Amino acid sequence: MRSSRRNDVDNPSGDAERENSPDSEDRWAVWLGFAILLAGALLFFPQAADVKSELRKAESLYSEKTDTKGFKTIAWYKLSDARAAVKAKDGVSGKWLALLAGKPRKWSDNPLDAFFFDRQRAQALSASADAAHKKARDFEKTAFSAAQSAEKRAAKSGFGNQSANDKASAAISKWRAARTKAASAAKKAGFKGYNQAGWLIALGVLCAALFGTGIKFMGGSFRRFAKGFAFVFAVAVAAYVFAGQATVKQYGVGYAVWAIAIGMLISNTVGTPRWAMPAVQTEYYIKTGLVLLGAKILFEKILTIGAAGLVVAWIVTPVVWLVTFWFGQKILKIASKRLNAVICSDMSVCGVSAAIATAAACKAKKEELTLAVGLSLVFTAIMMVVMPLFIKGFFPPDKQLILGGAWMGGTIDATGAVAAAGAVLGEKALYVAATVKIIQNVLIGVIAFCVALYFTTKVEAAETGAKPDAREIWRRFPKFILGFLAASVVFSLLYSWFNTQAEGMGRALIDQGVVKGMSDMFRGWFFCLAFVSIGLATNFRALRHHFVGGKPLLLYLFGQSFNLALTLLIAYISFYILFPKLTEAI
Amino acid sequence: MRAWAILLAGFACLWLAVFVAAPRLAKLIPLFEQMAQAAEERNIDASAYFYSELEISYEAERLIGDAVKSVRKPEPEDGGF
Repeated sequence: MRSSRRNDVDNPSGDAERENSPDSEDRWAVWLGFAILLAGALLFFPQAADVKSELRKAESLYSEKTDTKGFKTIAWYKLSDARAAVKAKDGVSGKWLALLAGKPRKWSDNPLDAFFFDRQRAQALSASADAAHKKARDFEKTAFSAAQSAEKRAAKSGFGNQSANDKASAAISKWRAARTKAASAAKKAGFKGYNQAGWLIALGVLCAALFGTGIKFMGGSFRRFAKGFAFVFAVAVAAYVFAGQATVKQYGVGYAVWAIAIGMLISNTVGTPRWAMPAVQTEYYIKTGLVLLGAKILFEKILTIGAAGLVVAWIVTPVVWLVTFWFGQKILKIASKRLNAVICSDMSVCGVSAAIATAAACKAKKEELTLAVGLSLVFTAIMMVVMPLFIKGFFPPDKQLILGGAWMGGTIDATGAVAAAGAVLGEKALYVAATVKIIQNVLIGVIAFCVALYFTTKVEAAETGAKPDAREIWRRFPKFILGFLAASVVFSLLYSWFNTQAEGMGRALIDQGVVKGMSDMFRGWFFCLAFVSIGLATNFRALRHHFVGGKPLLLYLFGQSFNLALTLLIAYISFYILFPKLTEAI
Repeated sequence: MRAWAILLAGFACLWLAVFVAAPRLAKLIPLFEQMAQAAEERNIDASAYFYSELEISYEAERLIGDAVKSVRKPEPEDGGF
């Protein structure tokens, strides 16, 4: 017997014409996701030989000839930069795809700038940025000369003199900061304008064709879907336009919030047009997006920062998740285990992405996901401002960067907010915070699988009153989770294998190829379409009863407080007691 | 007609939130300006949801990973990879 909850997230449109069979919807989501990933692999992997030779060239140019005793020299940074500059997505196909799947651009005062920026205005803008660019470039050159001189002095003692090493290290850091500013200035000076409108229409047509084909095979009408999709896609574009406003971006308010807000505004005032309802397909878009998300859950990344980062991200997070879930069930007695689970993932893993994966895995209601996303938005905005202030005010100066960075990386929900907060403290804090967050991001797959298993075997069994056998468990299990995990495993193996061919090859072909050049761009759109669908199918009244008693808010507050305390404690133990040498290396 | 008026009012509220409330609030929050500037300089999109949406994440992973690798040999007793 199928759970009655299928009527919510699975078919939020209440589409009378067709209710997707969950299995066929899962199957189509997996097929579409893998078709996109395969297309990405076919486009980018043939560049493997060129990528390898470029990486080898970089190694031959910058590899250290002498032992620097762990001191990070200019050559070390240049090698690292040269490796990073090798990106499969920088080829012709990658550039074309970036245009096709590009989002409305960032803008400040005129929303039309999200779509067009004519060449004349662009030239005027780049001319005004020219002077700043020249100044930044000159400053970089001076900083580089100073760094070279300081490094020579440190090299004279074979990098054995700590004082000379510290001075050289400080000079190199100044050069790195100047380099970042010069690169940013160069980008502004080289601005050429754009016209995104035509590409957005092309993308809309492509997405309608992709999803519409699945709908047709699942028994629906392609024509009716395509007609409705035009509306859903237009709202998704509007959500990206709002999210692209410069000040709004600084608050960490992303497209998900705008998509839900605009969708709900429409559905609760004039109502979602009936002809648009066949394209209001929350679950279909989410599942396909999640399969694409799987490709960037790369397990090798958990080794990036060594055991210390692993302890912070992979021990604290599951403990916080379990304790908060227990608190929600036993103390707060939250009626919906699904809402509890979605908030736990949202708060303890990485915000919106984890909330989406968990909601789909446990078949949560659309308003439960909406609530979790809303809570995450509010607390992310607060924490990204308050945490750096707190760290600056109360942490000892020598602990602010690494401990502060790890603390923020492990607790602030969204990755962008983590990076922005880390940047306030300094480069090292930014890098540690972002790296801890990456390791935590990888947990999404594990959490989604465990949640799907728990809800299939325990919660749904309790709801239906029947003890399920293995066949029933298999029937109920959300199959797209397997597609998500398969994508993760396949791309993790490929990533590691490419890295055995040449250091940085996995990064160039997977991270900076299939993931950033293909799957990530489509995944963003698919999640946005899902949030638009949620908004278009949500009634304010359905959301209101969740606020009674403020239990979700209390749950989030408890979980986040526990998360803050435990992450700080474990980060201190990991970075300063268990693995101090690792901390020195950073 | 009333529904359309509410819809327009709703969009007007969103517009006000973006152009009036958000910039004013930003001026009241200590450190906000500094954070916005730091993010701008490093091309950080504070609204990104996942690491792959941020170029700086890859830079962080690369520099931290390379730093750890450059000074550490596999030593099981101190846990470094």
